[in-house]
Amino acid sequence: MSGTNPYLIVAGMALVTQIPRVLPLLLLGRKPLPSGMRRWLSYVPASIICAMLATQLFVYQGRVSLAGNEAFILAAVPSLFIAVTARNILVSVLTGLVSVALLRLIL
Amino acid sequence: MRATSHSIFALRRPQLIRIPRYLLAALPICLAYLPIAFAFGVSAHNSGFPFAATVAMSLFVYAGCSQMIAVGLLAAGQPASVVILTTFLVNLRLLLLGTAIAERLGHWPVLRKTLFGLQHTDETFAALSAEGARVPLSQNRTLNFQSVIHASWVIGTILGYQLSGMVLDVKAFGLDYALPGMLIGLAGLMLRTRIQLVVGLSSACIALLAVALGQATGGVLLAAICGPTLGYWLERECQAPTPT
Repeated sequence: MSGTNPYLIVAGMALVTQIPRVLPLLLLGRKPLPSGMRRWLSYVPASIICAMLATQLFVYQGRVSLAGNEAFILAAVPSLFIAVTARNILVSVLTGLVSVALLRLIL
Repeated sequence: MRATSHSIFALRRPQLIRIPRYLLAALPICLAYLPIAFAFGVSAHNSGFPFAATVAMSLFVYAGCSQMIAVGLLAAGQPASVVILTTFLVNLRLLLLGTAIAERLGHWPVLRKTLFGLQHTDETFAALSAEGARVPLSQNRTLNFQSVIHASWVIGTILGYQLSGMVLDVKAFGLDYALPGMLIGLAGLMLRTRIQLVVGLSSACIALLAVALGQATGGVLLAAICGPTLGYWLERECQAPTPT
């Protein structure tokens, strides 16, 4: 643990996290953005979700790996099926939880 | 109306017990956040970070990935400047999320916009985006939705810090799959067009490539810049009249 006051670190972290969070909301939104910009931004959610999902499923102990993630990867199949058919986030989360718990009993 | 029928706040069928819709919408994200916040609480405790500062971090920083990194860096004896700079770089993508959602709260009062921003995360952004990019957000429902999720983050942190001595096996219930499960659910809602699918797959590859090259912290940000650029370009190419 370094000697700096932990509360100062928290304050510094809060500042650099909250400014990029709040600033665009306050500055933008009154006027619609240019249509090109809006089209570009419409792909941001899909991009972020898939990037985070990939690191959840295929990274094990800091490295890209299938080994160690078998249950996670296999459980993605039923949860993705449910996600596409039922279109309900909660149901696909629960499917995932149950699948992983069952897979761990088998694997 | 297509957009509202797919709203994350939409009710599927009549209910006997009236559960507020924002609670139902928040539940999967809370389920995902609790074990992660718990893990953060445990590692903060183990690296000797004070309890009050740990809770303050979950309250005021509220960014899972960088909180975990910060505690790790501090435990490794890194100076505060490195911790804060890393936090800044990891969280730059929040600028992008805010820009993407700003239009949907254009009519909100400034104070409520600020409140929204302070509790805006990748996951709430993704869930709210599933409604469709142009649907205006209802103020109370959205703020309640985000507050419940933030509360689960803080509660998870407190539990993790206080119970860090006890061995609690979240794996036995598959609870560690809550976050991937939720992302899969969101992907199923959002990847509806071929271009979206291509953007998603290439963003996934970029993020993994970054991890393989040892640049895990910047990977999602890099993907969030390259992916939409590819989507924008593909959309323009597909719409362009074929040259004769």
